[in-house]
This record gives sequence, C-alpha cells and structure tokens, in this order.
Amino acid sequence: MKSVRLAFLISLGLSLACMAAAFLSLSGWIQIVIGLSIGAQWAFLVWNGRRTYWFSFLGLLALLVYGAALNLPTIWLLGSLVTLLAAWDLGEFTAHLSAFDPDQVSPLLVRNHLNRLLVVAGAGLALGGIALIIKIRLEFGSAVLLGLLVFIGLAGAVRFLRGNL
Amino acid sequence: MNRVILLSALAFGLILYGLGIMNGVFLVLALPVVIYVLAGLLFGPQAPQIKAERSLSARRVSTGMPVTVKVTLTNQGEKLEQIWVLDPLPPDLEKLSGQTGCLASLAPGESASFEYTVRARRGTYLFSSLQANTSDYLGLVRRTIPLGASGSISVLPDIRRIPTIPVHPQQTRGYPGTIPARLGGPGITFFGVREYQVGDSMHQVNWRASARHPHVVYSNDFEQERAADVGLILDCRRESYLATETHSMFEDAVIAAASLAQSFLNDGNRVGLVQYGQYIAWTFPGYGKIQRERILAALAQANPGVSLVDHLEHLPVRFFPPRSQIVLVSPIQNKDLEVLYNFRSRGYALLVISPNAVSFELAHLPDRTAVRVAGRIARLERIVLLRQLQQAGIRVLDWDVTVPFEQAVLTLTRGSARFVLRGL
Repeated sequence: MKSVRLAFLISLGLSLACMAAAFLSLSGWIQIVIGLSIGAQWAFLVWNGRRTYWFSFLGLLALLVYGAALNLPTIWLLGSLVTLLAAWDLGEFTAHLSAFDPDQVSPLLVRNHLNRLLVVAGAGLALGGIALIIKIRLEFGSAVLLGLLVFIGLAGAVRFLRGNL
Repeated sequence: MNRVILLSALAFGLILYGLGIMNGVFLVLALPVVIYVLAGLLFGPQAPQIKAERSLSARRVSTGMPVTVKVTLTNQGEKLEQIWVLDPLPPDLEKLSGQTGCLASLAPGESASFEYTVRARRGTYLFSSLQANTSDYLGLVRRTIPLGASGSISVLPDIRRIPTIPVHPQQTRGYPGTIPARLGGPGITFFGVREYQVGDSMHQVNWRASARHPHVVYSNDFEQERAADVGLILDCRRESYLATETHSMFEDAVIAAASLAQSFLNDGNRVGLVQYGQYIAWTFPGYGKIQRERILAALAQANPGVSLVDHLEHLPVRFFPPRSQIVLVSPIQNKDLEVLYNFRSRGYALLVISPNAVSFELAHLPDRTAVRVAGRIARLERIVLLRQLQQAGIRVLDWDVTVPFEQAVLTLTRGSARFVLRGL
C-alpha cells in the first residue's frame, strides 16, 4: 500500500516535472502554476482516500493538449503523458486497495500490478519515441482513410470492453 | 467515471484531432493511451469459473456466542490476475476479528480464503450471496460473477432456568405430567375417599373412615397429575414496550417467554406460542425438545412491530384448546382488559407476566420531584389495572425487569400467591 502511494507520488512528480519542462520552453509560468496546483490537489485527494482523481487527471491532460497545440517539445509532453497515465492508474489502485485491510492484499498482486504498469508505460514511451523519429508524409485521402480505420478499430475495442463490464 | 470509456474517448479525440489538423504530435500522444487500453483487452478475464463455499462454525447460537465464518474461493478456470470479494456483514452483526473480504491472484485450481468472527444479539441474520469481481492487473476490464454461498445465523434468546410454575387449567391432557388434574387416581396428593375396589392395596385403605361405617370399606383417592396445554402469548406490539439506546423491555419479554416455554416443556406439557404484533405468528403446540427448538427459533425472529389494531381483540382464541392454560407475556395496557376478561369467561386459566414499564422508565429518568410524583401516579394506575385483572381471577406477576426473571418468578411458586405486586 505504501509502495503504491510512493509510486503514485513519483509518477505524478515526474509528470509535473516533464510538463513544467515543456512549458518552461515558452516561459509559460501560469500553466506551470496551474499544473502544480492541480497535481498538489490530486496528491492530497489520493492521500486522503477520495476518489475523484479523474477530475485532476483531466485537468492535467487538458494542459498537455494545450501544450501540444502550442507546439511545445513533444518528448517532454510524451514523458508527461505516460507518467500521468501511470499516476492515474496508481491513484485508482490506491483507492481500490483502501477498500481492504492491508492483511487481505497479496503483496504478489501489488508487485504484478506495478510490473504490468511498468511494461505498459515503457511500451507507450518506446512506441511514442519511435514515432517521433519516424516521419511519414500523409496525403489528405490517406489521413481520412487512416482516421476511419482508427475509428472502426477503437469503436470495436470499446464495444468489446463495454460488453465485458 | 468509467476508465475504459474515458481513455478510449481520449485516444479517439487525440487521433482524430491529429489527423484533422495534420499534426503528428497528437498521434504520438495517443499511442501510450492506445497501448494502455489494448493491455486491458489483451489480459482481461475471459470467462471466470469460481466456486465459493461459506462455512459457519454454528448456525444456531445463544446470545453473545461468537461465530466464525469462513469463505473459500477456488478458481476452476483460467488464471485470474485479480479477484476480489467483499462479504458485506448483515446489520447489527459485530465483527470481532478477521477479514470480511480478500484481494488476490488465483492460478488455475488455486484457492483463497478469508475468515472472520462475529457476535450478535438475538435475531436471525442472513448473509447475502457473494459476488466476485475479476479484472486484469490494471483493473481496466472487469467482470462481476455471482457466486451464491449465502447463509444464515440464528441467535437464540437467553434462557433462564426457572422452577416449575404451578398452573391449574380446568382441562388437562391424558398423559402424565405435573399439573393436578382434579381427578382421582394414582398420585401423591390426597384427593378424597371412595369405596374400596378389588385390587386396591392395603396401604390405600382409609381405616378411620371404614371404622365409622361398619359395612363399607373406604380407600384413599389421590389426585392425578397430568400434562396440560399451555399457550404462550408474547405481546409484540411496539407501543407496549419502552426502550433506551442500549436496552429494550422487549428483550426481557422474549427472555421470559423462552424461559417459560422451556420450563413448561420440561414438565411434559404441550406448549404453543403466539406472537401478537405487526402480524400474528404462531408456533403450533407440541411436546419435547423439537418443540423447544421451534419456539426458540420463532423467538429468535421476534421483533416488536406496529400492530394494525391497537388492542388484543384479534388474538386467535381457538388456537388454544378450551379451558387450557394461557400465559401472556405483556406489559398490559388498559385497553387489553376486555380481551383478557373474555379469555377468562371462556374458561381459560390465565397467567400474566407483566414487565413493569413504569419502573423501567423511572430508572432512566432524572431524580426530580416532578418525576417522582408522576412515577407515583403511574404506579398507582398500574396497580389499579393489575388489581382489576386479579379480581377477574387472573394471576399476575408484576415484573420489575431490573430483577432477573428467574428471581422474579419465584414469587409465583410460593404457596397460593395469586397476585404479586410491588409496593409503592
């Protein structure tokens, strides 16, 4: 439980640091302060066992998207997004664990969760990094086709997931 | 908010926006999100097969006895990365130790269990069916599976050992018991004399009476002792009882009913029970230990309720055999008198065990002059009420519930005391 909270704080800290680094390139102090205050509020909520993390998550995400629209350095934005996702996952996991006594929770389960998260975050970071290197020129028609494919693929995935909920 | 929907919407949005403005940064940012969602798809539970068993250390216990509940989950299907079960405790059950749920990973064939110990007051407690939740490690794709494994505990009322209470119904049954039957025959209490009959033992001959009548020989006759029908009525009307935050007079009434049932059954009588409250619940008359268990089970579930009618007029008189013994456990209200007179006029022998609501309430009120005066008036009213019952030939035990029932009931066993009242 303690290790999960610690991992959450580390992830959130990294995400905020990456975001701050990205906004620093444009001297966006206001955005940095907003990001830090949202992060502090989120950390406070997790520490007190409340479950409204999606609100904080969405707030930081909006800042990231805003940063992407301002053409901030993508590597910082990517790092911030991956660690933000990890922080969100760990926040949810902390809330999930808080419903149980510490004795009820298998340490192996916690370790496996952290390992899986590490793999997923690593894969996301690696693929994102590779995508930054590879440059593909897309025509308008190809972009629309790709958009349609993505739409169909993700819609199928969501339908599958919702059917399993 | 559902995480899968949120993340999928985010991925959609980033990709479509990136394609729309032809900006690859948004596509790059969408990649970690897509991978996160796909990990949930890939490792989510398929069709979990879980068997659950609930075992209880006892299903029927006395008040205050601890019960250990153990729940075992066995995975009969593929590996479950994450499974969690929470067993919600029925209200009023006090958890003494242990865990009421578990969170684990289960390999095929592997089991996980949790156990806890609870204690409860009188009543019947139902454990609802269990539900298992399974998901991947990240908790994205979740499935909920009903497992069954419900159960129940009956916490029986306290029973006090009380002495035999002498009762004298007009009608007894044909079986031997302890109640004088007002019939001559084998017994130990002198009943009368009758003319000698062939087969009478010499010890039975009443020589004194025979000497007075030279041509006739008389034998002593003894009073037969037989079993009787005893109908217990427990008043379950909420308005009859007072309660504090920690104690209710109704619990005392239930203890009295349980103790009386045991006492009468131990003496070989046929005992039935009627609970009169929100509805009428009856336990048909019977003998012995099985009947004792039936009555205790019924009393375990007894609760005071708001009666549709506010007096006892709907008591099912025909439920009790004619001229049998009726024992009513009730604080008694003024409006009940008519019904009790009616019982009496039908030939029933009536014994009223009446927990004293006045003394109960006074014990929980501050000692002020106004309270003392009011208490004195209330006591007088109660004495008048109980005297009216006495005048109708009804035996009454006015029971101050601060005195243990086994002590209070002793007054009924002394001589021919027909009416026991506490002084002012």
